[in-house]
Amino acid sequence: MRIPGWLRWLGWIRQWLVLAIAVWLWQEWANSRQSTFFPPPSTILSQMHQQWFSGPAAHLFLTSDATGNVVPSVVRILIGLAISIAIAIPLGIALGRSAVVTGFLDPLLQFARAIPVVTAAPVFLALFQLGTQMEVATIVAGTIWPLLLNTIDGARTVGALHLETATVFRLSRWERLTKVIIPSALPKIFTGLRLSVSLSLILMVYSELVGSSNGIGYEMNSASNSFDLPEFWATLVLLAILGYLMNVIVDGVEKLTLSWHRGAKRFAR
Amino acid sequence: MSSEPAAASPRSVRFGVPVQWSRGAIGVVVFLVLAELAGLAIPSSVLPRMSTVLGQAAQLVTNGQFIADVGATLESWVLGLAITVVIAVPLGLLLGSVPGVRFFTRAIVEFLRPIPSVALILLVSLVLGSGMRMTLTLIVYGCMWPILYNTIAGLDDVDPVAKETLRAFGFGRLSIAWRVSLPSALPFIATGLRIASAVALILSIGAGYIIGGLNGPGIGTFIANASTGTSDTPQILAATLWAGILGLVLNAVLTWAERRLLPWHKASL
Amino acid sequence: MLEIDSVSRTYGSSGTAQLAVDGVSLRVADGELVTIVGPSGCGKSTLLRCVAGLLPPTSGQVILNGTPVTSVPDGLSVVFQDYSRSLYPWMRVRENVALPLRNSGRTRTGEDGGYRTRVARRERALSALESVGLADAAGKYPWQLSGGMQQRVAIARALACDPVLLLMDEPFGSVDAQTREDLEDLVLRVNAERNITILLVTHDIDESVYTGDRVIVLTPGPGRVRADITVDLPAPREQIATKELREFAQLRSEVSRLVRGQPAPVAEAAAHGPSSSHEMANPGTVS
Repeated sequence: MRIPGWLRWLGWIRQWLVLAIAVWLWQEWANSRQSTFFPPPSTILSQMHQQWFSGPAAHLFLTSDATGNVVPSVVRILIGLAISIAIAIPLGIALGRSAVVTGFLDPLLQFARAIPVVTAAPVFLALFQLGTQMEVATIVAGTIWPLLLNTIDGARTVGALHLETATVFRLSRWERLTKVIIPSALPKIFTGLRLSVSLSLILMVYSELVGSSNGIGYEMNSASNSFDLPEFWATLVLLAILGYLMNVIVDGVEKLTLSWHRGAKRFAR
Repeated sequence: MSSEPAAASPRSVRFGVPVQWSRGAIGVVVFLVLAELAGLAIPSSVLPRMSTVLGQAAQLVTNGQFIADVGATLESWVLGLAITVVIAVPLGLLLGSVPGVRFFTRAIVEFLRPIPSVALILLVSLVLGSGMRMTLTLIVYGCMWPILYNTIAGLDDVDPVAKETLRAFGFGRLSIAWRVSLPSALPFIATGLRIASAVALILSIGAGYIIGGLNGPGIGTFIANASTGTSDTPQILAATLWAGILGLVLNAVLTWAERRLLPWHKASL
Repeated sequence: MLEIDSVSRTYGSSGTAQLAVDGVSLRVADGELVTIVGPSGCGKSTLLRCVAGLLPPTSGQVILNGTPVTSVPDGLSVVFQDYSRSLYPWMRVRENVALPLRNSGRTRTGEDGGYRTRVARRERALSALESVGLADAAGKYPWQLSGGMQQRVAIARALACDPVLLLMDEPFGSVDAQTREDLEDLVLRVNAERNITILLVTHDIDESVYTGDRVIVLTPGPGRVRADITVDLPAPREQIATKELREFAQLRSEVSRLVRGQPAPVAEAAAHGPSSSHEMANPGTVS
């Protein structure tokens, strides 16, 4: 069943409408209660504007706070994810295609995945001292597992007949890899990527809470220490927006690269 | 389909489970030896020797304080998951079966989900103060999404033919929900629970580590204490080792329970 | 010339070994269309995989044009039954057909191997699609097509690289009856026009007689050759007229009895038998 475009837009608009109503209700509630802990959205919004977007036009209206704290956090996420992807995907494909090597490494991988990643931060803190290195290391230590394990699974479960067909038509090893194994593993790789992307945000905040001299998590920590709740909520909302945007981007990339997969699944029903 | 015996994996038939185990064991031993050698080459202030870490880990078993910490972490894990299940499963069943309600909540959920749960550690501790109540609130928030999401997905996956079959035999709505919808959604809920279990452990330890001694006993507090002052890296790593083992055991227990209680569904992952 | 020389294949280890194919010998002349028929589990597909070089025989060997087959030989193509798992869902129909052209093709005419340029491969793929009547579907994805059309794509892919030997593993097992007849005729046409040697495995007795120059009947597992029947039905076969022939009915019954392992009614077979059918002389292969 194909959903017409305008209907999809309608659903999208309705979704935002629901959010607007919820925000409005919150505003009314917060105004009537005058709660210290839950400031009204208007206060949060003006705080966000003043804190990050009231800078000079030459800097795209970004304040020094935005370039000094938001940008480093985003950069850490991007570097961390890039390292995870660069390690996990090639390694995962190699492991997925070799039952023997996976047999040797399986217990280690299972154990490494089971370690709650929050314990990694103090270890890296001891290893690297404070700073970007430690934060990136924490992000990599957490985001690499969903990617690696899903890639292994994807590469391992390439259809037997797909591989046999590749043999029959005498594809070279490289063609076998790029035209059969990778496309076939791609849906699972994206499942891993999706998990890793939402983890990267969590770990960015966590590692900055643990030890950092700048970043969104650092701002959040100092706001909480000085009991500045509007600023605290501003960072929280910024994180939600960041998380939402990251999901939208992953969705978009997935839609572009995996259109065949969604189509094939729909037709299989 | 041709009914020829499968050509796949004659090797696993020949060697069976023992080879898998011995390979895994070799992998672990090789890793430990390599880690020990790396520890010899690198100054122990940077990377402690594996034998030191293992020795510390063995000593922790007799450390009454650490045992109490593990117990506290487990307690928050059990209570947190139990509260989440009591809230999220009925909520998911309600949302999954009433389309109107579901649309409105979905929009809210879409925007709430990206907020990283660790960011709420500070907020919750500001509002509720530190301690078990704060840890539990955090766990319930973090574990809510996987269980809720999977419950709804489970209801979506119910085979309409199974429902129609019962309807044809004259069963009522509630009876169908009890006999068909719930049993077929249960495996999904179980998967959600296993994901939530990892999240609960992470949040319990993470909150303890960030708040520190104020939060009462817990593995996170133990690590926080070990990393204050001149950080005791072997001690942190030893605790991390046990945290990993705890994660493995909890996952194994849940997988085992899933197999026993839901025999119609083979546990994946 | 394809020679299958007492090929056996065992699955599993010594303790639980299971014999799937037991000493099958067979010669197929160039341009011949030989069908292999037998009950399910008789090792037909295993035999085909041995011929394709996908599976090494436990004993015996396969020789194609004088060269023993150890890996997938040049000039060989396969059409599998499960088209949905054999075509790549992430490639368009055209790309699926063009994929094998990089490394094979032109072997038959002795020209320089492979279609070197992308344009050449694309043109070749389009003409192959045209020959199976699917020129319009080139830009679609396989899963957007019906089962019969997908199997046509698989046939076009197999033919695009000008094979000398085409193996078909129950190619029409999962398409509807009407489509199946059309595809059978397509195979007959390909065999006649291009003089390609075809080995077609099926469990459908009508199909084996209708399409084959020869029908090989295998025993239920482990597979041995029970009979080798020459089908001399008139040359351009036609779904309705050919199947109305008395000879067709007789051959059909004969193959049917052989598949079921029932003894042939001797008197009738001797009186009316139009074919030069003969049970294999080797007593070891007759159960």
